[in-house]
Amino acid sequence: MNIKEIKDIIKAIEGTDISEIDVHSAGDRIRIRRYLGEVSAPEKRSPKAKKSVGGGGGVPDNVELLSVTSPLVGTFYRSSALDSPPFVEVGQEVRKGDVLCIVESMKLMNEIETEVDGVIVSILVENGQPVEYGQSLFLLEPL
Amino acid sequence: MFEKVLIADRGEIAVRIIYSLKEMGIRTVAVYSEADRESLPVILADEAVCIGPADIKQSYLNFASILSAAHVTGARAIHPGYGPLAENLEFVEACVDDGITFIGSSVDSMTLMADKLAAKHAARSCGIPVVPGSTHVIEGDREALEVADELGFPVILKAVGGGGGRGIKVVADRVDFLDTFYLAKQETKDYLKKPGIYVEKYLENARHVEFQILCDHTQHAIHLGDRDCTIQRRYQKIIEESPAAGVDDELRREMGRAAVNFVKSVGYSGIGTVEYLLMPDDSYYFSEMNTRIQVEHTVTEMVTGLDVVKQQVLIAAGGDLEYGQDDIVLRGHGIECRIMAEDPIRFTPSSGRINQYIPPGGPGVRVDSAVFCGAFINPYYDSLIAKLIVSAPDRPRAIRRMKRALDSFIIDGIETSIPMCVKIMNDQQFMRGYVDGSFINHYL
Repeated sequence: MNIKEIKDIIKAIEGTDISEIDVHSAGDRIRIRRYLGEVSAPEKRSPKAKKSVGGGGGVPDNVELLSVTSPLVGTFYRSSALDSPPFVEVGQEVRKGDVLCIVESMKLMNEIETEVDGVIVSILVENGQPVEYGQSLFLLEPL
Repeated sequence: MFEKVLIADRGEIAVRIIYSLKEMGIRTVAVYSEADRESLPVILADEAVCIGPADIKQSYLNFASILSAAHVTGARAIHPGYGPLAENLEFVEACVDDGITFIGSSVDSMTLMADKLAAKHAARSCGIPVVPGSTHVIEGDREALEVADELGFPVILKAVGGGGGRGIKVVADRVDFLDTFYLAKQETKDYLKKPGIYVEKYLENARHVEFQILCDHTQHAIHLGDRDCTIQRRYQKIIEESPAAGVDDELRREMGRAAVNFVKSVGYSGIGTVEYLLMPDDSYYFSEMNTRIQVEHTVTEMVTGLDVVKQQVLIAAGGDLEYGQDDIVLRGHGIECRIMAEDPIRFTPSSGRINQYIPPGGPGVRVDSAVFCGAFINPYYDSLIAKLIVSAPDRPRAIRRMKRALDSFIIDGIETSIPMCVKIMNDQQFMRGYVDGSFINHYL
């Protein structure tokens, strides 16, 4: 890993709320830690931007939004078939029971429904991306 | 060789497996429940996938979740550790159906050994003495009592689908037999997949002596010596040693040879442990066989210098065993103490956050653990938090070393069984060499 690559990593996390990042690349490994604001002791390890499934970081911290999480491990799909339109788009209003996406696991297509009425504020995962249990898929503004 | 392996267990064994896989250049995937998000296996593995909530049934026992995690990460093999999936036939079949290599033995071997009666039958066919008892499952109470009378009390009622201490009831007096029989029958129906119980003679003053086996696909099998695991509480091992003290070399060779012949006769492959009961007159009886890696593999590693997990992975990948029987030399004496997070008086699990953790070190000391300062010990999972293993040139020195290591082991924030281990190490009978484990009852 050369100095340019390291500087690129630092640049990439600037302006985000990532305080610690651990990067493995072709046998090299680097951990970069920054102190954001106050340091409280004992410092709890913040969730690392580790190469984990999903890797969804940089979510804005907004207590009014509701997170729709995956109830299982699998692959996220925005539509029911390759050539079908996505179930939802950002800005779309959804009613309780509407299907938002599919998470495919072991060849089974599981439809993920919303439990509340709301507006889709953010789609956090990309089509075809692997997701884990409890991973945030959508942010909804409840109505 | 596998490029990527998923570890389907948690805690110290997950860490142990990750260590060997890393040395072999294999990429590692840890799976974890929400309660284990901050755990050491997650920190050490190359990748980690959350598979469910804290409840074991929805996470570490959730086949779909774990197999799905293997798919999304591209892991082509799964190591089940010694957890609930390690001897779960349905899970092995699910892996096979899915084209994923289960790092363990074959479905046939595991099915055979999971049926404790069938395993005994196979051992007997091989010329190994087995614990005297009924040769088939007993349904009726009359028949059961007849068998018990013939064997002579005390007898032991065992579940066919049990093993590892489950489904066992000792009946000392004839007058208690029928009640215990009904209770045992009911329990196996409730809790075990394979119902049915059988009756065996209860061998008092028996030592639990087991042999570690490695066997590859070319039927090349070796044993890695013996372990004495007699010291137990409610059928859970507390202290393990290798080799078993007071067993002469000739007897050890004979028991080891018998174990190797046994596994070859059933076409076994992989890792396994053949368990015997050893009597004071040096007669021995086959008890059962485990087909998974065990907690106490560590003490064998200490005295042989081998990495048993590595051999297991090599074999699962279709490779040949790297050692012949002549390469296996047991040097000195090894002892393991299992450190449990538990209340020292009531033995109930102790949970909480560890605020100080200083493991011992120095010559001949090894600690296998997933615990660290700041870690939270969950009440959901089993209470083994660390294994402390020592080796030294002989047993008295190993005991001294263990005392020293226990004294230097600082764990604060929860209660542990360290004080009980210290008491056992200082017990005269332990130090002299024991014929059975009952002497520890006054520490329990």
